[in-house]
Amino acid sequence: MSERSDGRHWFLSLFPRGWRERYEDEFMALIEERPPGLRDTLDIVVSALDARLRPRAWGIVETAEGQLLMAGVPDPAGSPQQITVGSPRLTAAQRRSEAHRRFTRREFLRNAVLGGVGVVTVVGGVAAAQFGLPNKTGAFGKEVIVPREVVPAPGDPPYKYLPGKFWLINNEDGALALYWKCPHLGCTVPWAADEGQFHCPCHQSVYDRHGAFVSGPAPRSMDLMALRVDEFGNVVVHTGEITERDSYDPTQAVRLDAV
Amino acid sequence: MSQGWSELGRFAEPGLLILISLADGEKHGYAMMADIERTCGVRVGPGTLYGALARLETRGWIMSLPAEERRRPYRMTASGSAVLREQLAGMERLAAAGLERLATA
Repeated sequence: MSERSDGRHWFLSLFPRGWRERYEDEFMALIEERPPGLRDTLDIVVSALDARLRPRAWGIVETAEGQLLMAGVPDPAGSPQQITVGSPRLTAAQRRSEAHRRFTRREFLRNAVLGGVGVVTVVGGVAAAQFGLPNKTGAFGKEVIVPREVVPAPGDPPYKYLPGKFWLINNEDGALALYWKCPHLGCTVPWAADEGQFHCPCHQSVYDRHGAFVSGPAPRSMDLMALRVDEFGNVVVHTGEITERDSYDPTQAVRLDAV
Repeated sequence: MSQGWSELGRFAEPGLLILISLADGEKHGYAMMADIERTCGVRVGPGTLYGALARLETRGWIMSLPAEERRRPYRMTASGSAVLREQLAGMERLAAAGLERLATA
């Protein structure tokens, strides 16, 4: 999204996609009428994190088809109405150009720096709180959505998706969701960034970027999780659909640009 | 009727302020913020405002109207006004109880 690079909407990208599709325009209209100071900026950052942590409470629901919707309210006639995410926004760029002028560079920098401090504080607090809690991997076994924004580009290091227990990696043939459990004795296989491959520290099993067996005591390649791409370009991984395989072949990969 | 109110968590107070603000007619986000600040003396941040709006909307207490330009007005529904009435009545009882104790102390 272009608005990220010029910085005007840096905090909007903190919000989940479903929220943005539904509220971005009116939210920006509000921000333009009342450019956020330090307190408002922090309020936005905290709220955006809250929306990501508890999307359901924010009315962002996931349908059976894996589609993100903002739950709507019944209209006066009583028939339920749902606002489907992804409606075309025609002159978004034009409409935003005016807002740009009202923000000065200094204001933006100040807000960005302090907002960044706020994010670090909140994330640190959440991490500290989670440290004391038992590990919970609630999403494992179900479909999970990896937002388009964090999906790695071909050749990039894989994205570690903790709740789903998999690595999402993108290669020349497309993306693979690799169940991180070592087929040898079940250790969690880390990505060895310096080697550019997966390297299990327990018994030195090595797998390449496709999760294919290279060397070590493992009996086969890393297991695959089923994945597909939704209409927004997010990667939907079915963490309950795990397949074993001996080796890699390109039909296992799913092209992400084909959407 | 106020089922779902307790789950509002930190959005309960902003939610109440929004309902009060919408009680005299539909308003868009900025108008609500300005109105709440003027009449209640409370400043609701934009993120909190939209977090509360989403929660009120999914509970059917407010409804969004077609956007005018880019501002989208919201209107309180009948169930929203019933919830507001109930919440305010509860606060009234609470205030009366507290004031009575102060008076007799």
